Amino acid sequence: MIRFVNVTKRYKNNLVLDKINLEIPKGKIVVLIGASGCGKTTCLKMINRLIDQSDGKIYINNEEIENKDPIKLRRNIGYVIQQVGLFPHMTVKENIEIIPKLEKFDASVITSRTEELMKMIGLDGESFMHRYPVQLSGGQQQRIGVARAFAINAEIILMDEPFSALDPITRLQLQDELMTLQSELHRTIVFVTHDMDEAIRIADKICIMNNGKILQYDTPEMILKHPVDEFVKEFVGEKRIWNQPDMIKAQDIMIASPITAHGDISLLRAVEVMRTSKVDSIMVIDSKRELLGILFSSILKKGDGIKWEAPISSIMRKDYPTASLTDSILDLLNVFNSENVSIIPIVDENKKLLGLITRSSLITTLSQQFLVDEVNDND
Amino acid sequence: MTNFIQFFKDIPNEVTSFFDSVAQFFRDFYASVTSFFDYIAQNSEKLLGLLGEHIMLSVFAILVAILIGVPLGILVSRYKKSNKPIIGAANVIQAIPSMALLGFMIPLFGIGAKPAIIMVMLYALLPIVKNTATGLDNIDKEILDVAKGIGMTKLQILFRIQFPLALPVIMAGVRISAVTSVGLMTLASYIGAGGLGIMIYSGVQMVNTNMILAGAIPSCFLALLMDFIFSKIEKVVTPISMRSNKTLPEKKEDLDKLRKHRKRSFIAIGLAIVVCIGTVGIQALPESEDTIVVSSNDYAEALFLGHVACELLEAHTDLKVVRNLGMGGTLILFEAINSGEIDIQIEYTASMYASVLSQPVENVTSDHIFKTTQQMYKDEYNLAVLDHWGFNNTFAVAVQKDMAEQFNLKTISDFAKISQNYRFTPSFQFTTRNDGMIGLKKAYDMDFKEVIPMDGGLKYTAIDNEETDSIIVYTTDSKVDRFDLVVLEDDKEFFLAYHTVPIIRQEVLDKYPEIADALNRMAGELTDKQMSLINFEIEMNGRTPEELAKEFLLENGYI
Repeated sequence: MIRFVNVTKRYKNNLVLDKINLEIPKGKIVVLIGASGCGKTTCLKMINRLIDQSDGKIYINNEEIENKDPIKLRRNIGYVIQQVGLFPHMTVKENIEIIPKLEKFDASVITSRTEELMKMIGLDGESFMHRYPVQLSGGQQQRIGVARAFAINAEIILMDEPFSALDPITRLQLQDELMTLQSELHRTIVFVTHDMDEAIRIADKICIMNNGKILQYDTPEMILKHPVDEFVKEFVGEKRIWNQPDMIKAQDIMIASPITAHGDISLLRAVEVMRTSKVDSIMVIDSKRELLGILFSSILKKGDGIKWEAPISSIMRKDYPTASLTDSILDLLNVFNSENVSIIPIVDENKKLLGLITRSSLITTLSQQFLVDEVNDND
Repeated sequence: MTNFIQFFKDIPNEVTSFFDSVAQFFRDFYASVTSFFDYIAQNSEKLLGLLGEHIMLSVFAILVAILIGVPLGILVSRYKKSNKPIIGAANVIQAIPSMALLGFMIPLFGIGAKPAIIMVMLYALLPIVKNTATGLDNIDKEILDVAKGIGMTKLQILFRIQFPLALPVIMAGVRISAVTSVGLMTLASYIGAGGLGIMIYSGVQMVNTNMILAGAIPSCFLALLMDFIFSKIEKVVTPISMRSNKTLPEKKEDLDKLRKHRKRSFIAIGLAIVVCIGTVGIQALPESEDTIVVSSNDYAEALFLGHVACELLEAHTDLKVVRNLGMGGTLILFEAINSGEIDIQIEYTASMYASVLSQPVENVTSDHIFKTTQQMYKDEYNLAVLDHWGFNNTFAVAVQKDMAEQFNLKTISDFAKISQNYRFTPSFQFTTRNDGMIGLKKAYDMDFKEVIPMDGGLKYTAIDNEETDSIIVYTTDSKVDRFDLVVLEDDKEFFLAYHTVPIIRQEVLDKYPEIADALNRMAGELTDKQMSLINFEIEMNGRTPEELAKEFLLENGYI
């Protein structure tokens, strides 16, 4: 949809953007994030040609934007900026309708569109249309700003830190409303922010920038879990992941090579393995590593009736819950609580054993966030 | 002790005398106020006419200043490089004394309303240009950024965003200009554009306080009124949402009411502008074919003579006469008649001979002056000089009676012996004229302790207040008697003869030869004494030059 190819921006000797390559897919929200001066706003303003690149090319739908009339280009791109983007001398209605009117859309179409938008952003048209921006709260003003961007049926909407001047509660509301709007309208939204929480909440993809370069461009989950370097790691914040526990998956925290044994070995041998490996259970598998059952050391408490020579497949437990790789830490906790088990094997759709989660390994994982805290506190 | 008692005894007397003088002050004050109002009542029609003229001129000048200043302001704000030359030029214009600027205007634009409006407009320019640029520059950059970002063109941004938002600031500039313009427009009378300045400057010439006030007070009130009106306009043009005085109503109907009111005000302002332009436009239409424009200087005698000429023309020709009297000075009048702005002027022979033609002034007879002038005007400027009207209103040196008695001063030669210890006050023109101070000093071998030039009637006020010791007067001036001065005899016959002559553009005279017949009826008819009496009537009894001219001509059977 939008494609940056080797885009460079120089102000005299100051390199602002250094050979940026970026593809923004249609209908997605892409968040550009980074510290101030990283070039994220410059990138954004290049899309509607408020800033022209020094080098490289930018394509929208495979058309080079340099060849387009900037006025026409901009009229097909919604633009929302921080806080003061409304024209103070115009009413809410006039603000929303300015571009449709300049484009000489049909009056009835404009009116119905405006009313529709007012509904979408949750403001009562009757009591707000005729008012002036000064008569609105910050949140209401920015809702109008967003409405204006959507008023022209633009495929692309650029948002330059649109919510950063709002209080946290209003900001959350507007983020939710933006998501609702987006779920209905499916626009390509390029969103600049410096707030990582905001980025993770709304983004389909996040583009982390620093010093005019893209450090990592990926889904929020991937960025949280696999930051490419120390800078990104620090920028994202080590603990950030704990705000998004549903992004922590079984595969991230499981014991990847649990102690296993084939079903036909004897209990005596199996106990020997448990003793040397210092575990209290063994995953019983077949030759294809398919999980057959679990042998718990508690079986030994039966005392005299223990058949030491019997194959473990005859005495293992067969009814136990399992989980898949993509189950989140929340899912796992649910299983532990409802089934009252101490371990959960992780298997694939063919019941092939992939790993193991134990209560103690889960505690170890969960405690990391506090341990990190302690380490940081000691710094 | 007795002194002490005496002191207390005196107190009642002191108090009474204090209250007496206070009472006297109020009586005097009351008398002057009554006489002022009488004057206003008598001249109300003329005053209203001048006021109307003044308003039209000022408003027109402001409109032109807006039409030029606002685009310049836009230019300055848009192209930063144009800031220095444009603001610089406006600053320089502002620094030029208004009289000098008026002087520059005459060779370029002639006389009348045009140069007056241009002069005032140039002064009005700076605040408008500056405020326009400031207003446009001070708009939030983010707003302009977003306007550009959503795809508005430069012109759309200018007219839909920048302009509405900057309008209050621009209007504040216009308001400053409007107030200045009203004041400056009083100078317009110098170049025959009319307005309240006629009252003020003629009043100064005639030392007629009522007349000065009748011009000055309305122009003050007019300035205040302008300020008030423009403050209202400033408020109206402020976008409803940016008015700081009260909180906006939330109801649709109330907001609509405000919007409607604003719209109506805009229409009213527009209409007012159209009316002003229309009125000035109609006045500026070329005069009809058979119209003759007559002009004269701005002091009492010149005004009287101008009216005499007009009355004669009206009585004895079928021409339509336009009285553009009361212009400020010989050279301005010469410029005006030379450029065809006026057709006839009344002038003094020696002024033409010395000031306009710069002829040698030593040992010349009045006949020589007249003949030379007539010849040169005809040959060099194609202007016809008719026969002179008799009296000789030349210069004379006058001193306070006390001083004349103390040193037994009878002639200028007597005064020349002691003049180096005394101050001398000529008119500004006199100081630069060959037949003025330069020649006078040479002829009598005299010098002065200090030369304090002043114009018109102010000289008399100055000598009366002992701010100077000797002044230049005119021989037909009634004020010499009024201020109890002694005129010193010009024993070396230095001063040139100042005979009144009508000057006519030759082409006009060729077309309407009857003009010469009409004006020649006054040839040689007026005496110094008569003229002095007429001046006295105007200056002391508050008669208008116009009515006196009519009366004089009727009584003596000239019309």
